[in-house]
Amino acid sequence: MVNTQIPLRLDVVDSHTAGEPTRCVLAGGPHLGFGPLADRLERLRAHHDVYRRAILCEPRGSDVLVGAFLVEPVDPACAAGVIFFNNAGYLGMCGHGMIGVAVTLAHLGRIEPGEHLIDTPVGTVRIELHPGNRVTIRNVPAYRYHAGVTVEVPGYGTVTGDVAWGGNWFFLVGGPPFPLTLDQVEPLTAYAWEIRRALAAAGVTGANGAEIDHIELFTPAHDPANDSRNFVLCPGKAYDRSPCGTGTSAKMACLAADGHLEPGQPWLQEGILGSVFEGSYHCDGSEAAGNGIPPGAKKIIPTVTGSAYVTAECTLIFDPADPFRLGVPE
Amino acid sequence: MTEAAGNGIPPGAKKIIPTVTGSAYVTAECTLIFDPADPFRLGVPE
Repeated sequence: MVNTQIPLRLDVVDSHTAGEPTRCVLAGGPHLGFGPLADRLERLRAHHDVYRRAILCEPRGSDVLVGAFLVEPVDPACAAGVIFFNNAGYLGMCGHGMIGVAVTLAHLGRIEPGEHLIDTPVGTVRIELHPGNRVTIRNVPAYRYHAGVTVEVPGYGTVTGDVAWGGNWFFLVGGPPFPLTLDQVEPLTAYAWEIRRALAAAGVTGANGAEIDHIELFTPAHDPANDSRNFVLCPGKAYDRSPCGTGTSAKMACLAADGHLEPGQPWLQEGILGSVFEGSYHCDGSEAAGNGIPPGAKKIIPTVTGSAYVTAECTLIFDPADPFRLGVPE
Repeated sequence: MTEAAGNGIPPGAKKIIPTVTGSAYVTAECTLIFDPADPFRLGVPE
């Protein structure tokens, strides 16, 4: 049966990771039963989706927020289980969200600095909490799928970039016609959106025809201590306030494929706010494999380190008389 | 029944005194936290 009700109150802790916000739901969430988190995610999606919009959409949330339900892990070796969600649906894993959850767990006194395992619907994720709110996450394997793909973008001319997987599908473009600064977000968003549409129109996809739904633009870093600056447009047309964990992973896959970054070498990726993720990678010697992946594609295993800060301890209130208690209509 | 008056208001403009009624609902009770170590504790740069 589909649940259409939510409690009057829900306790959450809000944080930001390099500027990108996460809302961690501590108590009051739906009962999802036991067993693998992938199964619990399906129960959440099928029966309790009402929570997602109520917690994350306006007027209590925003398009930029990622939500995280804390749940009991399956494996008792895990410090916690987490199911990520956003305004559009559910996420198997989320880089900035995982860093935010780790710092939230530390804020709550549930974990100490050191290595921890966190259960997710896509498997166990290894994290390391460092002193000073820094967290390292080990991402899924990343690889470059196509190099130097040229598309005709209406209004902008020809644009050439790489297609890479870093946990999401990215099109990576250097030398955008606008500087990567906050006052240029509007033209940057329009430019990136037109590239995305042009890729779809030209039939340029990730493996197995997967839509490329993240566009990542690069310029030299503003801070000479960093290696690069980026602007990432996410699927819902919001831009990533952080340097984007999966986008940093996709970038490192391209650098590794071109021989420009060695295993273990740090890559300091600056985002649109000037905040930084530190990436590096190692290889396990295997190649990327799967339907439609070109033979010989170099697979890297990225780690991404970033900082998160708790911004609020909140009790969300859902007044039964409030016409928007379940979020504004779609 | 007075007319609007003042700099730039056309003579004879009909002046109204509006009232507006709407509903509001409390959505959260929050404690905002400003960690001194947080580079964005004062908001993102303009």
